[in-house]
Amino acid sequence: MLRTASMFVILIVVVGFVTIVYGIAFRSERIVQPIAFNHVVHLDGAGMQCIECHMDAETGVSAGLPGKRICYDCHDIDDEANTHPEKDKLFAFDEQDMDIPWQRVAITRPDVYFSHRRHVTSGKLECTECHRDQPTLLTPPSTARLVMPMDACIQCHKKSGVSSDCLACHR
Amino acid sequence: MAKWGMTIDLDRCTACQACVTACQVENNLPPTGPEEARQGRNFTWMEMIPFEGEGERPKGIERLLPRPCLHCDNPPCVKVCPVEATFKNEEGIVGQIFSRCIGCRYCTTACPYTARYFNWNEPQWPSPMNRPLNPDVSVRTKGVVEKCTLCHHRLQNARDQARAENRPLHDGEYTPACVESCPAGAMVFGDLSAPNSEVSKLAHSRRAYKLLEDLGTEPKVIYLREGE
Repeated sequence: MLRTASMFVILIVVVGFVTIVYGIAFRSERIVQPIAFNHVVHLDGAGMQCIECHMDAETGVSAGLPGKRICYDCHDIDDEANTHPEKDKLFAFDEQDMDIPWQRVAITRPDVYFSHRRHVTSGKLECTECHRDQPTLLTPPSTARLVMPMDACIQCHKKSGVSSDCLACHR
Repeated sequence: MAKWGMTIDLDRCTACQACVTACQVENNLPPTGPEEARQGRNFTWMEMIPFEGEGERPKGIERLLPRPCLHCDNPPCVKVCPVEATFKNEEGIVGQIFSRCIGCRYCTTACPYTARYFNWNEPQWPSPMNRPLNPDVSVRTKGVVEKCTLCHHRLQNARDQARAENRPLHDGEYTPACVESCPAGAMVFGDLSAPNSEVSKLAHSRRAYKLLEDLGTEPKVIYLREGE
């Protein structure tokens, strides 16, 4: 009985140790955006489209992240009535003469070639097909948002009848 | 379905090696130094192979034959790959998925044209050569085999442009870097399955021949004999 109990304790200790080591080794890197951008307010509230900020989505490989000038098209730098805490952050970048250092949350593997133009313009895919609930987020994601397994790509390619040639995606 | 291929006119080729340099820049090939050369570990996807010239020139004069991957229709390298990292696609291009390669080097041994290269070291570029790497082509790591892909990324880009403009891909829109760079116009690239394409006509001319044809590899890079 005593032996069983000690075996159980050792098992608990080993499992706990492995869990902690695994958690440290494989924890996902937290991403902190410079401004707490609210997608819902801009898309649903202001009626904007994704392409208005991610301007290269229809023409480029990368969709692009918005520069501060795009923000200034709508946000008045001299509007003192606007007391939103994120406003000061936005204008602080202007004073430092630097653009907003957005952190990318959707990064493809180095051996994968993903062209937004190919999927958005030629494939007529909606952004949410891959970026899922991104438009419904009130705050920026703190971890990499896009986990796209190759199986998902293959399934969609087969369903759409487009090339599943390895060279079409791998570079 | 197109069947991409190339002819190389040895009468026009001056062995200037512009194609070699263009290929290295286009496909992110790191420069190798004297140490690697001593060990026989240089690699250039487009390699100049010395051979003895024919025709009116005096016998014994050494000539150089530009040799990319010949993209065989019956590729020996594909048959031996244990992990299907190399394959022939629908358009006849022998592709290589670098991230899938396990570096066993069966393919380098099987290729009768020695068109495959093993990465013995991590790629390194001296500054500032490391800055303008081509984002459309991956940087291969140590331990994988690599080869010419007929600049497949250029086909992708040309096809994307054609699709965006809602039109078919025109002849000449997809050209590998080596062909584009050739100042003598010795290389002609195009669809071998189109009977009226220039490359198809040249490939069926009486000067055309294939390297080591008796092996039955059916290469799609076809040479035009010199001295006629």
